[in-house]
Amino acid sequence: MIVEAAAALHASELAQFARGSTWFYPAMASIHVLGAALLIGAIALLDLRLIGFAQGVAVASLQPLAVRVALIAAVFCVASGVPLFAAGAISLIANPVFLLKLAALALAAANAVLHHRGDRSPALHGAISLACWATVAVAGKLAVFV
Amino acid sequence: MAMNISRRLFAGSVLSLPFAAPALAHHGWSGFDSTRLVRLDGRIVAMTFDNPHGMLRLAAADGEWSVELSPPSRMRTRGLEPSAIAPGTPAVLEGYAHRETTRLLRAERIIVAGRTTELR
Repeated sequence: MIVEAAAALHASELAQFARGSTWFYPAMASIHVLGAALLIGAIALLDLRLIGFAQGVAVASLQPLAVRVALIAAVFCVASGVPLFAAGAISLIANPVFLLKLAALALAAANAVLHHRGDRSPALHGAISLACWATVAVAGKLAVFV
Repeated sequence: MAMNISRRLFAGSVLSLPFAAPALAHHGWSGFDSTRLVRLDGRIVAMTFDNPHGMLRLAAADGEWSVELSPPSRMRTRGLEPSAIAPGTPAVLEGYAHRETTRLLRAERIIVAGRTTELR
């Protein structure tokens, strides 16, 4: 079913436009990496603080800023990621490294939700988040080389 | 201080986790044998001018090859339009063959109608 959905997306007008475009696809790839840099950069600062670094920095001040920047960056990542994914949906959905990226994204999101519900182990949430986002970045890059 | 070092080790080990990912990859960019340049002389039988990179099928002396080209933006910038590599066109491809997948070429350059376009 997921494979059929990917095939339908692959055949969509958006996907055809992204594949056939000269500059739209590289522009989306650029926005995607800029969004990822902002998102992961912001969240990594919070994660490191939660793990225990820089205890002079108040979590109450850092967290709202980091989360706001990350959410805005996530909008750019998703908006650019949809056409990038659509252009190669059939092969990406069967690519184990891309699936690892999606799994790490889902885990990062679930972990963030648990943290914001006030779980008692912020250091663990910080470490999980850092590992997940590092996996998202590396798997996202490597997916196109496998 | 000891606490600080253990935290650093911890953060470092956490960040190294994703590098376990390449173990999942079956083919890599390094899967192409760049120690031996392959030259194919044939006729284009199919072509896509798509992102992230174009592809063509080339009927050569030893059979039909799949050839990986460049992103459309780069090919156009270098003056290679899709019309120049339409099916039926004779072409010479130089590049590196995949070590495992037979007749798969990562093209370094394409020569059509006596004109060479560098693809990397």
